[in-house]
Amino acid sequence: MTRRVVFAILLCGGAVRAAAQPAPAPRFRSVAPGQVRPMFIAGVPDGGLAVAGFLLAERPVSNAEYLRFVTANPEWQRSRVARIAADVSYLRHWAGDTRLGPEVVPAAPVVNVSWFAARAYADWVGGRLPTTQEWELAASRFRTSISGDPDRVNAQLLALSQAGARDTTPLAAFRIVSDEGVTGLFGGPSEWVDDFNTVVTSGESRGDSGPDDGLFCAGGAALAADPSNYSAFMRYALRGSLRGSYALATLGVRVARDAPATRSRGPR
Amino acid sequence: MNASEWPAPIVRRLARHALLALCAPLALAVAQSPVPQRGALPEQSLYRLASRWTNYDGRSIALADLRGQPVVVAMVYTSCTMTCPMITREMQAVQRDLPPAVRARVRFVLASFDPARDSVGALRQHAEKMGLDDRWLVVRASPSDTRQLAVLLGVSYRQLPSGDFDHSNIISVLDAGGVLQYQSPRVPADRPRLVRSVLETAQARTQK
Repeated sequence: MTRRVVFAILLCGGAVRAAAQPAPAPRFRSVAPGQVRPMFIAGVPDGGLAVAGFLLAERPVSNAEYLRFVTANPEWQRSRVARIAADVSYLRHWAGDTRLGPEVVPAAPVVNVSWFAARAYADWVGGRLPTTQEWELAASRFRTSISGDPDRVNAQLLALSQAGARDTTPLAAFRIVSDEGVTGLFGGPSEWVDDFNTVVTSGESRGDSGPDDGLFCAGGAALAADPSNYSAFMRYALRGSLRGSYALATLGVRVARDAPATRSRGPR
Repeated sequence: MNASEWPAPIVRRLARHALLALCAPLALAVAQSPVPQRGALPEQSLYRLASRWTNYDGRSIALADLRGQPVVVAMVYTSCTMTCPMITREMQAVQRDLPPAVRARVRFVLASFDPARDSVGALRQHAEKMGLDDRWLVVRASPSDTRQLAVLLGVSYRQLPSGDFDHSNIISVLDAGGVLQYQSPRVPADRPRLVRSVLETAQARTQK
């Protein structure tokens, strides 16, 4: 009897410790301010849009980190989350509400996470999701900027991504490191951005030739793309097709934070 | 959105946490039970995600405060000279077309996606200029809550270098529980259909 009570207390101790685990502190890298040429937007000056410097997590959020999040915030567990906040694919690759299972690599990027969930996670660790332009800025920092020598850098990144895709280990993408020390931007899962719903050119358009003027205000003026940047084009296409509740096996989370000196939000 | 913003009373949540901590194996069984933990809001209710807004009269409201009545909602910015006034006019026409008994119960909401420029004063000016009556709310929120509502409604918007916005022209109808019943994707809208959806939504509530 006594032994059973002691066992119960030990169990409780373990559970309490698990529930009280603090939020993981993301390891941030500094992304220097720069210029981005966004796609599908009219009136961008020749040099591109200025994006303020900010902090971006060195790695995307892992399964192990996300497990701590749902343990501390049960409303984000698979069986409890409201359907409006995450669809039925939410964390479907896990074995249970708070169990990864043998198939899931704890250090691999978590996927099957909705935008609402990604935002809640970022909030929990004291950060936020990067904006589209911040993400693109960070992704352009590979030796020369993409705008500097588009053909060479794009071809190189595409090759790296494809090499990553052939490598079956879930951590392969971490070997692709930007000049600023950010890994996994290429070759791994795509990542949520806070303003994924900014692509205003298609979606509900009924015709094939162009946007329906009644659907979007000024949308008809906003067609402008750089088709040579294939991987960027694919990212914009993906973002334009998403809804906030979608949980996809190819879409993960990365946390950003304002640069400490300025505390200003990036352009939205 | 963090845990503290969920509508469940804090005491009940703490009690649940305590229960989890005290009997982990039992708690796992509880977690898998199909019993809803957050009151009676439907799974697809927009009101399940908390957000805080300020009306043009300075009053602070949560989206969930609109619970219990049909809502017609659109997102606009008040300095818009193109389709936003058309969106508002369209909603006013819907309001006019409703039978008085239904009209008295429906709320009309304009939510700004330009919180940087749409101060409470700008919202009040807009309400006066458009001649909006007391069934209307014209509201603003933080950039983060603004983005969340846009995502919930499927509204795309983006500020252009000129300061204007590209944006969808969606008008949405929510039922008393905050669930989307109909969305008009364009202006001019299919107004008979929009009016019909508000009527059906209002009647569905009466039957409940």
